[in-house]
Amino acid sequence: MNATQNTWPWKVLLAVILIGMAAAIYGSVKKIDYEWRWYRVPQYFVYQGEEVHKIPFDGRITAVVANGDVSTVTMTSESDEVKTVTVDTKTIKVSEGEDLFVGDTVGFTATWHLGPLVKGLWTTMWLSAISSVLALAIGLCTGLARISKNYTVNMLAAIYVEIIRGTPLLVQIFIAYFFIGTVFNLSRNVAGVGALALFAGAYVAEIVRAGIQSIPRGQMEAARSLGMTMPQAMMDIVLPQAFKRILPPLSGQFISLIKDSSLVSVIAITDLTKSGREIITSTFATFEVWLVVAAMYLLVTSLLSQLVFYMERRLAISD
Amino acid sequence: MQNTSPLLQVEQVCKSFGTNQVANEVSFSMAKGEIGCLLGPSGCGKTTLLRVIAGFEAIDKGLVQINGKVVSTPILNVPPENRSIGMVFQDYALFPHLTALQNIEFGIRGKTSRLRKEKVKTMLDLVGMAEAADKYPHELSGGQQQRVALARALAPEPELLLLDEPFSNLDALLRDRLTVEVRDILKELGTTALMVTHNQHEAFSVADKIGVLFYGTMQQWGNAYDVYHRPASLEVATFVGDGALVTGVVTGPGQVESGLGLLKGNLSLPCESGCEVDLLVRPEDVLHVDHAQVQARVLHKSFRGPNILYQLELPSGEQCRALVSSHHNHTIGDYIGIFPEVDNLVVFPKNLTIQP
Repeated sequence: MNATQNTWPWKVLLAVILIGMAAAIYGSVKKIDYEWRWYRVPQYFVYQGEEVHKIPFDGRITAVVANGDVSTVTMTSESDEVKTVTVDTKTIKVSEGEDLFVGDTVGFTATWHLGPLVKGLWTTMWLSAISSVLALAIGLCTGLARISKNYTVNMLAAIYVEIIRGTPLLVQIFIAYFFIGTVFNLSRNVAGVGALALFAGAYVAEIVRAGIQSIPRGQMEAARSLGMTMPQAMMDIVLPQAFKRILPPLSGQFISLIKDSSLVSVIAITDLTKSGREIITSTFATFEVWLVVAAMYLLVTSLLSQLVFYMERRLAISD
Repeated sequence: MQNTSPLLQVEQVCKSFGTNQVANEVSFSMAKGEIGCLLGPSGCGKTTLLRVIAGFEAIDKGLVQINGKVVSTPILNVPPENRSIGMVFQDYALFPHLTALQNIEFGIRGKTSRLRKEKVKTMLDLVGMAEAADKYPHELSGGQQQRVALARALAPEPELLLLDEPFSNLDALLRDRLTVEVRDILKELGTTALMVTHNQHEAFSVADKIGVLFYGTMQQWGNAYDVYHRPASLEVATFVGDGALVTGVVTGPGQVESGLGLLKGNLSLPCESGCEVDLLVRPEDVLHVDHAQVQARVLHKSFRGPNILYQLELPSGEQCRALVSSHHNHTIGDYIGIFPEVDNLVVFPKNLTIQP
C-alpha cells in the first residue's frame, strides 16, 4: 500500500521531465526556423489515384446512364463494335451522341493506392519475418552443434558464430550481395534475407546454447533413464523447457532483426527506411518523414514485444 | 557360487576423471529383489559408480552386467535407455512442464492408452499420490515430489532401480518415514534397487546389503549387521556408527587387556598373544554399573531423551563414549563405573592410520 501511495510524486516528476524535454526540442526547432509540413505526409500512406478511361476506337457515344456517383457509358464504333465503361459521374467528359476519335478521354475513376510508406513497411515486415524463421532454424541447429561432443561439428558452429559476431552487419550485407550474390547470381532480396538470417542466426545460436545449458543435466538423464534416446529427450523434454527460458532474449533478438533490416536499404531493397529516403528526395520534409518512419518501426517492435509478453504469460502456467 | 546369476554384477570397475581416480577395482553383485546401498562420505565415488551402472559414465576398466547382459566395458557403453533401469535423482528431476500424472506416464509411452491409465493409477495409489495427479511439480512438496519421482521410475517396471541420495533434500522426520515407505514399496514390487547415500541411518533402514566406499575403493560389501559389528577396515569402523578406538594388548585367544579392563569375545583378526591392537568400542557396548572395577571421569555429556551420551576419560587417559539410560544423570567431572560388554572384539593392528 505504501509503495502505491508514494508513486504519484514520481509520476509528476516524470511528466515534468518529459514535458521539459519536449519543450526544449520544440524551442530548438523554433530557432532554426524549420517549416513543418505534416500535411504532406499522409499521402505517402495511402493516396487516391485517377484511372483514365479512353475510347479504344473511332466511334460515337450511344448512351450515358447515370447511376448515382458512377455512370455507365456505352460506345459504338463505326464497325458497330459496342463497348461500355463505368466512370465517376463527376468526371464525365462526353455526352450522348458525341463522336470521338480513338484515344479520346471518356472519364475517370478514382481508386485508393497504398503509398510508399506502407509498401516499405510491408517489405520490412516480410523481410524480417522470413529472416527470423530462417535465423531460428539456423540458430537452433548451430546451438545444438555448439553443445555437441563431436569436435568437427562443434568447431564449425563456433567458427560460424565467431565470424558473424566479429564483423559488422553492413559489411556482411555488402559481401552477401556484391560478392556472394554476384558469384551465385542471387537477387538482392535473397542476398538481403540471407545476410540478415545468417547474422541473427549466430546470435540465436548462442541464446539457444545458453538456454539448453541452463536446463539441469538431470532432466536429460531422467528422460534417458525412462527409455528415451538423446534426440527424443532433447525434443520432448529439454527444448520445451529451454524455449520458455530463451523466449525473452529471443524476442529481443528478433526486435533487433527488424531494426537491423533497415540496413538492407543499402543494396536498394525498398524497405521502410529506403522508402523514407525516397520520399524525402521529393518532399524535403526530412524531419517529418524520419519521425514517422521511426514511429512505424516503434509500432511494429512494440506489437512484437506485446505478443511475446502474452506468450510468456501463457507458457508460465506450469512454472 | 550362487545358483542364480546375480541381477547386477560389477567387476573390478575402474574410473577416473583426469588424475582423480573415483572408482578403483570396485566389485560387488546383487541378487534379484535385493536392495543394496552404497555408503560413504562425500567424494568417495559412490555417485559416480551409480552413474556408471546407469550408463551415464563410461568406465576405464572392468565390467558391469545387468541381468546377465554386459552393459559396460571399456569399449562398450550401452546407452541408459537400453539398460532397463529406473533412476530416482537427488533433486528428483521431475519434468516441470508435465503434471504428476504425465510425469509417471512418461516412461510407458509405448503402451496402449488403457494399459497406461491402469499403470499410472496403480503407481499413484502405490505412492499415495492419487489426489495430486494433476498437479505440476512446483505445486508439490518435497516429499510428494519424491513419491512422484519414485512412481515415475518404477512405472516402466525396470529390472534395476537406482536411487541417488533420494532422501537428502527432505527434513529428518519425513526422511525417516519415507525410507521405510520406500523400502516397503520396493519389497512389495520385488524390485532390485541400488541406493547411494552418505547417511548410514538411511542405509540401515532401507538396505539388505551395504557397500562402504572410501576413496573409490569398496571397503566392505555385506549386510548391515556385519558392516556395523564386523567392520572390515578401520575406515568402515570409524565411519559407520559411533565408536572410539582404545589401545589394548592381546593376552590370549579371544582376550584383550585394555583401558576398559579385560575383554573377552571373538577377535576380528587372528592375533597372537602380546600383539598390540586398537580396539573398537561402541557407546552402547559400554554399560554403566555403579560399583564396577573401571571408574571413568565424565568429560562431556549430551542428553538424547531416552539416554545420555557420556564422553568419558578412562583411567588410562584414553577416551571412549557410553550410552546410558537418562535416569543415570551424572554431572561433568563425576567418576562413574563402567563395564564393557563386547561380543565381537573388533581390533586393528596398532597405529594403523587412515590413508587420506
